[in-house]
Amino acid sequence: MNHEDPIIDPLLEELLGQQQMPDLSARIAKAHQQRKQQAKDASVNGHARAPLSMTLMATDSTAPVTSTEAPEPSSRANTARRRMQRRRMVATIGSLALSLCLLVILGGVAYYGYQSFSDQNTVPGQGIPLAADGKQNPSGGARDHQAKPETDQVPQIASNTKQTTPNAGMSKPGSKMPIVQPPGPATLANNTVAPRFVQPRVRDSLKLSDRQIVDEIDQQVASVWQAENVKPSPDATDHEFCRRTYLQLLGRIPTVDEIKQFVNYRQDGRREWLVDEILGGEKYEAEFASFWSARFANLLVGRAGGMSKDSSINRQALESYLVDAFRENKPYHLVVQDLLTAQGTTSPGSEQFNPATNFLVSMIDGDAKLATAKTCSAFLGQQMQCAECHNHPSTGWSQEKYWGLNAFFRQTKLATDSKTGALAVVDRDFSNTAQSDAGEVYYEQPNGLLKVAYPQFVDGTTIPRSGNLAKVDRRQELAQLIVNSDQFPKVTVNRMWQHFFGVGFTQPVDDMGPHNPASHPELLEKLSQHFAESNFDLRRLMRWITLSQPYGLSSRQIDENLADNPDGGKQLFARYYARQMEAEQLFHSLQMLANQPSRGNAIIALGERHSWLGQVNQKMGDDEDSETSTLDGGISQSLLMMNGGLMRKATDAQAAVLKNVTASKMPIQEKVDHLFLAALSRRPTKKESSAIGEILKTRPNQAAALQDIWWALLNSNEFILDH
Amino acid sequence: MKELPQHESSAVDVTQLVATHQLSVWRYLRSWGCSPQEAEDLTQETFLKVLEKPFEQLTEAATRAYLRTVARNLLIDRRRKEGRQTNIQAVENIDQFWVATDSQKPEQLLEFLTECLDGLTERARMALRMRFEDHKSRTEIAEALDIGEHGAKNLMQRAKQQLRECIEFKLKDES
Repeated sequence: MNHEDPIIDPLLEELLGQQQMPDLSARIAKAHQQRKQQAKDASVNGHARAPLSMTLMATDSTAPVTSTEAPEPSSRANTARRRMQRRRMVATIGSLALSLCLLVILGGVAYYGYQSFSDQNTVPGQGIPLAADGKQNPSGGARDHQAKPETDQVPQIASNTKQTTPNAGMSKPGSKMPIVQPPGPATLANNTVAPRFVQPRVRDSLKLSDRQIVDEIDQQVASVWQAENVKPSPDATDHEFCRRTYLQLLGRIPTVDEIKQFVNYRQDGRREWLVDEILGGEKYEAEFASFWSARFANLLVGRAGGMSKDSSINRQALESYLVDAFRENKPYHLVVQDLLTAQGTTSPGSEQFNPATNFLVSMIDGDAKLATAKTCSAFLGQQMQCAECHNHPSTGWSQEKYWGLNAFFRQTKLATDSKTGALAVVDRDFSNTAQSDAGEVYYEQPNGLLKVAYPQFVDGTTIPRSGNLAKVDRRQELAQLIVNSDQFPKVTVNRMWQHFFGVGFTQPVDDMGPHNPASHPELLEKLSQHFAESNFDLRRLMRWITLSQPYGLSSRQIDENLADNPDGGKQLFARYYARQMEAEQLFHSLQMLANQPSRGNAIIALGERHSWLGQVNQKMGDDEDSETSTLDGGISQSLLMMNGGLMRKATDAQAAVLKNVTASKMPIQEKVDHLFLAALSRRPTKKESSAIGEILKTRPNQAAALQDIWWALLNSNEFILDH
Repeated sequence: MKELPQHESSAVDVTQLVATHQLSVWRYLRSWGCSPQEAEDLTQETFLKVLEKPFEQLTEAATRAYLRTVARNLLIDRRRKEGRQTNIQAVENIDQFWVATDSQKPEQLLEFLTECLDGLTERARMALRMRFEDHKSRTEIAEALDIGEHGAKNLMQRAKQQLRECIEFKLKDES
């Protein structure tokens, strides 16, 4: 608004338009303290204080800030510009003259040093070899002596540079906070419960049957096929469907018995029967919970989280918590609330043990920046980490939003249990000044300005600012805000869809938003709504997806659906996307083949699973908590598959499947069929049968030949493929 | 360029200093055409700049005058860097106005304004409320008051002039 009266207009805006100034006292005091600290550090290092111009963009050393009178910008701009040019010229000439003087002095010193060194060290007739000699190394001598102080200076310069870099000077309130030592276990729990400001959202209950929802998925996907003029691939064979369903729901390939049982099921609705058998049957309950606990642990703490000895995460405890949640089919939003609000120790042995704390434990330190980014990507499907330092150029994420979300985690601290020494996650009052309990968070903009943020959810919802735990429990409010949001069920559906199809409605699944529109927005919207209305029932969501038409299609591409190209960003789900098994699926499958073909055994060995997966996945150690995997189709993967311990175990003559086959009295062709079914979930083709027949004819030792065939099957591309 | 005296006294209470004077600095910057956010940023910069060196408070009025000078210089410097020009009429009057407020508490100014608003005609008050409270356009105000657009403009200009005079009178009277 243009001001007609420079004084009255702003005053009216303040009085009537509520454009009032927030209290800057704490913010300025904090910034002042930081400046003082920076100046102190700089002087300790023997260098000039961090120039203010690095953090105060608008103030340079030539600005007449200490003068009582300043020229008017419009009338004296030209004079100022000329004065500036003159100053620059004088400065340039001065620095040139200074450089020349220095050069002369240095030359003199070097000559003097060279002469004195020659006088002391040279034997008559022997000169000092020169660097340009070409045969000998240049002399150390005086140069080494002079070089030492220079090398000593390097870190000093580096450290000084670090201090004066705007980013390095970023406000890190609390980063030096010591780990809280709770006086006793009793203090880990809150004595007073803060009132709740965000009430649970009331949603309609689901009115549609599962069949209707599956039909809805089919219709929605088919309408996109029609619009894109593509035709779906034919249905997958029963063997293919059986293999992929076991892989997706239980994390392993089916046994030969399971395949036969499925194929021989003579009633209608065979596929529905299989899905219900796995999702609802008691016999798969433990295996199902174990696989999905591993899947969700990956989402929460990464594949490498808690795999190394020095990790603060007790992965076993976290997975056990998730196993229980999946066993009792706990609504997903309650699981997420548990994880986000958990307090207590991370490992058993203490009364305060709460396995759900293992989600946040490794992400609280460092002002909970990791916790902010992970919560946002895992439960809100948005990558917000860039906004820690700058406004995101395309997604609309601002620093203010990032730090507003971060403020929800600032009551949370790490502690150690005094009895057991176990690591704990606790909540404490959070405030920066004694005068006020408003727990504000400070952050620095790229231009050096210090800003303040209070708890504010991504949709702009705010809660009372107090950092006093008895008044506001910020994590409780955040958890409720997240599960209440429309984004939460969408993200979950998108992630689950990606699990079953290899590709979500958006790529990647944790970067949703207007900048990355969903491929099937209507379907995503409806499915999310149904999922929320089903009380966040993950099993039902799995059932809808696995019984849908796109899931049951063959992975073979046909000419009519060449346009279906997920790698090119156009996923139409006109076929099942063939892809490599995930690390857990591969481990469980090999483990099962190595041990007992009966159910359950592959999954129980948690320790073994962690140790094997720990070899495959490693943390990158960056600020985005990225990971790297050797299961990338490269040499490491080939070596692991051909020579790894687990593969050796699975192809050993005493391995469960192989031993049963070689020891049985089945005809040779049946034995080969059995091995094919066990490894690839299908019988051999005629061509494969005849080739194997030729091999067997030339090998006198049938058992050894079968072992070789078995090894080849497990090392084939097809084995590792989910298709 | 005049150098301000550098005081060697002990450090001031930063929080207290800011709490007392932040509003007058912010308002001063607003009167120089800064948006609320920009004024906020520059207020912060002003205090940080002032606190760089030891600083002694002689009188409230002297402190405010000093803060205003630093704030104005920072603003001028920022405008230079941005290559922007802000044309403000009667700069001297602005400074005179703020000098006159030095003896008052910052909150007093809004109280004066409220009192002065009550002294306006009903139509003038309504026009100003629609403009500043409801953010209506001049056309909408004109329609609501059943007058022409120029009429609405004149009405508000006169009202603001009255307000300015009223406040200045009150400031003089109080001092």
